[in-house]
Amino acid sequence: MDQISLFLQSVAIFFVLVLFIQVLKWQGIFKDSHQPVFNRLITELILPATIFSTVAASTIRAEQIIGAGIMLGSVLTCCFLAYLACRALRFSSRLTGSVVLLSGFGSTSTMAYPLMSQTFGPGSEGMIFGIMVGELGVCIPGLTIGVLIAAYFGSRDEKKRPDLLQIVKNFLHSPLFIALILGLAVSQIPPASALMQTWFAETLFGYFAHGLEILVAISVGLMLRPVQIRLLLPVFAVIVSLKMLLQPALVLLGAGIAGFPDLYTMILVIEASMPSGAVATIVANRYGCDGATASTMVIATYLIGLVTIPFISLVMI
Amino acid sequence: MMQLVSYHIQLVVIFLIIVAVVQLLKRKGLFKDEFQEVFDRLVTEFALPVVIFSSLVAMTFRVEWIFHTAIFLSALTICALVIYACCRLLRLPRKTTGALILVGTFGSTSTLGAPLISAVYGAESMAMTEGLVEGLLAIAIPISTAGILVAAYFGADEGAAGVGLPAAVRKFLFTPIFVAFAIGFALSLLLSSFHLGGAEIFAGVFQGFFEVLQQSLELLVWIAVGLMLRPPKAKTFLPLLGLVVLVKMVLQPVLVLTGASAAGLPDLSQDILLIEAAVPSGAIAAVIADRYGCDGRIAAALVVATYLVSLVTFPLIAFVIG
Repeated sequence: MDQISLFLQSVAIFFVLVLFIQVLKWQGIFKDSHQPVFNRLITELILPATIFSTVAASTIRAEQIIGAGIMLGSVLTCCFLAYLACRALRFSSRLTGSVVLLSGFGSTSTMAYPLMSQTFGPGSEGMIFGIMVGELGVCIPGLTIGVLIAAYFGSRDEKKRPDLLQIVKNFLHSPLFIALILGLAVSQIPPASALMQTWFAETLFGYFAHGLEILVAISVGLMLRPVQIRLLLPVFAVIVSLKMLLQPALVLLGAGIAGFPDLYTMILVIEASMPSGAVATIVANRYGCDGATASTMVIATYLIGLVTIPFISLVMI
Repeated sequence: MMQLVSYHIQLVVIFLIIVAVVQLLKRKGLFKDEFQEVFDRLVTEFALPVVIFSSLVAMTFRVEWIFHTAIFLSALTICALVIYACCRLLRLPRKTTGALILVGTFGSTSTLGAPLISAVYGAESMAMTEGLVEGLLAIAIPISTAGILVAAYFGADEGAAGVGLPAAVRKFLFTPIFVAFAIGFALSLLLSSFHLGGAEIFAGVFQGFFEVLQQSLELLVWIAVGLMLRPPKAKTFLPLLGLVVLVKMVLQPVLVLTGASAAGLPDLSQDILLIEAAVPSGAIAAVIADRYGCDGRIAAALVVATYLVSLVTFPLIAFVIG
């Protein structure tokens, strides 16, 4: 039951942080206009630094690639199914963008990593596998493909034909992509990669990593505002059924086909069963999708996660 | 000694890199001047109180450390008075005076002092505990109370009503973060005292919440400094820098060392006090100066400049420590 308790704690901490930002907003300390500050800070500085440091210090192994492939396959399947559902329900492009992102990309770094660290131990085989699968299968695709998805749907309402070339060009110039490429380059140069594991590099990038959780919570807290109730239920149903139920089932199937040992299967299922990603919400909002609904949905999936994740964990373990 | 100097140089470079990155992003138009206020508020009204409350709860305390803290506080008071007198002599504007008093008095004890003590003596050592307690009692709490009062007094426009001590204390005690802390701490005690169900989870949430905030403080502070920073005019800036360096980085360590020696403190306690007094000006002091209307730009420039100057002065202090 340890990992369930930790999960409950992590969820509660996130809620308390978000609640606090709401209180500070009511008191006038924070304003709606402050939200872009945090979105920019996260997407332009904190996440690129975190991606670079993680990728640069990693050694990629075959089973991690396969695990990431299984995870990515399930993420993309859920995104595609979410798109079909949005088309059927005639959601707007901005809302579709948010639903597609939240149905595929989960809270890997903010929720899954602490959970795995507590369960398997920091630096353990399970933890390393989990980080590599999370980074390669969820985080990096979320910040690359996810940004493209957000930019595509976020710009469709304004222009009849989204300028895909411009979107790709912008993406290739984005700090997230540059950080990924630089990180991969450094990871292939042993002396440079070793440098990333020194006290200096770990301390420097540790500051960014430590700031991520609070900044994401602040951003979500500022984003949160009333949305049309009528729209919420179908959106909620699509996201929960795809992200929190179908995705764990898909990775379980994929791990079974790949013949993964129990440990790797368990990690894949834990990562797939995470609530929708708060970072995905920020990306959605940053690139013009429906940020208000997305932030509400993130909170809603965290709430429903209180039931689904302990259930899935119990079934698996 | 080499270990201490090496860690010091690395930490200074780390913070300069963060400031440089924020400056770069600002020049590229990603951050704007108005973002400054957000970070000032985040640091002063959210993260800083959290750090103080959570540090107080986790504090392991020895009675003799009160005496060590008193020596440190006396040195700080003298430095503040010297800076104030110099500002009066130089007829500096009130807002500049406020900024100079803050950065000339309060050092980077949590940013530099604590990591240095941790790296040299060990994170779990008694030296570290002593350093944290003295940093909390002599720097963190005074800067959050007296420091804010000084900033509010000198930062207020001419003719405007100043902030009185009762009003400042009342405001501080009714911040959302303090109320949350008080309720959370009381509930945590209640649950654990009566062995009620859920006590462990509640304590975990309570501690986790404050840990997340505590760990993010340094980054928020340095982003605020990076946003605040503007290239100063050398002609007006250099005399101010000279004053702050002389008082904060020369006079303060000398006063602390003299006081500690005269009081016959053990060598380890003297070393800890000396490290904490010799660190450059506090980045939080610059944020508080800006938040309460003092000259934040001068304060930020002074903080960064004293970090650079410390690359020369700190090795000398390390040499004294041996």
